[in-house]
Amino acid sequence: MTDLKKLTIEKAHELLVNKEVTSLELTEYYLANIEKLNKDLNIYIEVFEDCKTQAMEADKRIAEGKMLGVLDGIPLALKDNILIDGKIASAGSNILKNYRATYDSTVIKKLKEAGAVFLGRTNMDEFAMGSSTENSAYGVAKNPIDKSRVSGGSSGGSAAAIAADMAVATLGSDTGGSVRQPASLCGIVGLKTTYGSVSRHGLIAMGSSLDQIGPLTRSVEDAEILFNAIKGYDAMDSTSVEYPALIDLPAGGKRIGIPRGFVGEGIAADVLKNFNDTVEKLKSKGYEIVDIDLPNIKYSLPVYYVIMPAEVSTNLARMDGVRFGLHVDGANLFEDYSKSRGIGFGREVRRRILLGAYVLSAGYYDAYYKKAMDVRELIRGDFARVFSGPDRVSAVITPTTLSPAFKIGEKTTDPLAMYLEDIFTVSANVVGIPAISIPSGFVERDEVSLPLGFQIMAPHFREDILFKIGKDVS
Amino acid sequence: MIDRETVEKLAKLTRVEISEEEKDSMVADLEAILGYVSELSSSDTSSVVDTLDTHRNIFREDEGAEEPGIHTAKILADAPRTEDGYILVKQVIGEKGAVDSIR
Repeated sequence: MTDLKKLTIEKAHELLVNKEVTSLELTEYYLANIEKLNKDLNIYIEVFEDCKTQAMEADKRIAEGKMLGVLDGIPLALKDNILIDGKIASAGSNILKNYRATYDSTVIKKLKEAGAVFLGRTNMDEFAMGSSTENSAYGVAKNPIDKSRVSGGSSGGSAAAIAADMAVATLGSDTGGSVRQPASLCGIVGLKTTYGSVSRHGLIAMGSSLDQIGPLTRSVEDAEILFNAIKGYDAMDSTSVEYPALIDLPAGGKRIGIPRGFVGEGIAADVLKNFNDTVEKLKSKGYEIVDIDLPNIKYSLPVYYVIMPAEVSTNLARMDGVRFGLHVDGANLFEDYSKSRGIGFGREVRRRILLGAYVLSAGYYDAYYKKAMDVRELIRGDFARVFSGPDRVSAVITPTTLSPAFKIGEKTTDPLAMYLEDIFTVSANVVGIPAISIPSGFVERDEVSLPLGFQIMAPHFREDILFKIGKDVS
Repeated sequence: MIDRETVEKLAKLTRVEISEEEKDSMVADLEAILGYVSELSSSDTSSVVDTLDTHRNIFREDEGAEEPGIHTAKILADAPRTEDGYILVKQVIGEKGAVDSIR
């Protein structure tokens, strides 16, 4: 029997092409792992009952010599906020626990056309708000490397599914770091795509000027394969743009910048050492590493915690207990709304909705929302400056997180401590540039080796730079 | 700056019921977060051009409508309360107290 452990998309495709394994056998392998481990780890919210049928259809195509491409017959899993026609998508929330999607999201449409098999939907923080999946209505998704620790979030289930060998690859969504941070905590690759490059049609919205769908994979090559499969203009997403044809080689050649003034703060010594080891590795591959100054990057997280809740409070207004979702009956329509929403939303979601309404309200709009939008422009300007001119760099690197996976319950009582998980990742969302987290080794905590990642950011539509550097150090 | 009254007002505005027990901790959380983001006021943004001026129309053409009714059954299946092909809501106009309560 062929060894199916920890397969990449590339390897699984090769096995399928060479008829060493069928898509059904692959699917059954993951189903067996899910059966064995999921009760304890809580990674999948639902396994789709038709996944074997999907696999058999792929096998039929392959047997007839009509294989659709590299994703045909590859078992994937999806974050619970990506719609598949006829299947429940709950965004990890009580309010949508029984919401059944009435159409395919654009990414699903594309993956169906590519022949991918959908195993099920993975656990997440409610409406993608959180960094640990502890805000999920279904309970925390544990880290397969150490069950007493979180898998990160909000796409924690999508990251843990790969670490626990419950899928070849998965999709998540990233609003402030929700693909990269769990990827880092689970020791895998996570890509936040350029704003506008992947359609969000059929993604349950959180912060619409920030949200982006992205792949979580075992290798940089796999992230590239999935990205190429899901990117492209879509008239159904008004922020979608045509991905430009590859311009030329990296804008700044092999020069990479580090915002040193920003990276040193609040970081554990061994995490910083791990990052510096990565820097040495890059140098040995011929990269020139320079210190850069991004004077406004320190404002990224505060900017995010104004703009994101503002967008949350408006986006989540559609959850009304009338057209779909949980309905809790009150004495009148006002009570129907406020009880359905008060009971249907969890604590973090309620907190962000109230906060968003506050920063948008008359009298505070200028001091918070308008100010944050202006500072956002300054941060954009910082990145535009380092990515242009004679001293330009082709990428900026940082650690992905300040520390490895933390203990379950460690940060649940202090929202600000949880928010700091996104300190390095959130700038890419604020600015709209692509960023990737790549495994960079391990640090010890309580005698357990826990994975870390480092982050690469590149100019808009330069995912190619992320892939190039990522492959060089993987 | 945030007190129980502010939380009650926001809860009403956003149609999110906050229990009595949660109000105090919500006050504390919102205070802490707003305290953190108030760091932004130290940033000099006088050079920034108003971003609202740079916006443009991105709406797609409203065309290619599908046959009326082909998705109705599927969409209604998600609605908590329906009657004769309609989504049911409580009476708003004419009901005593209903209009006052949503202000």
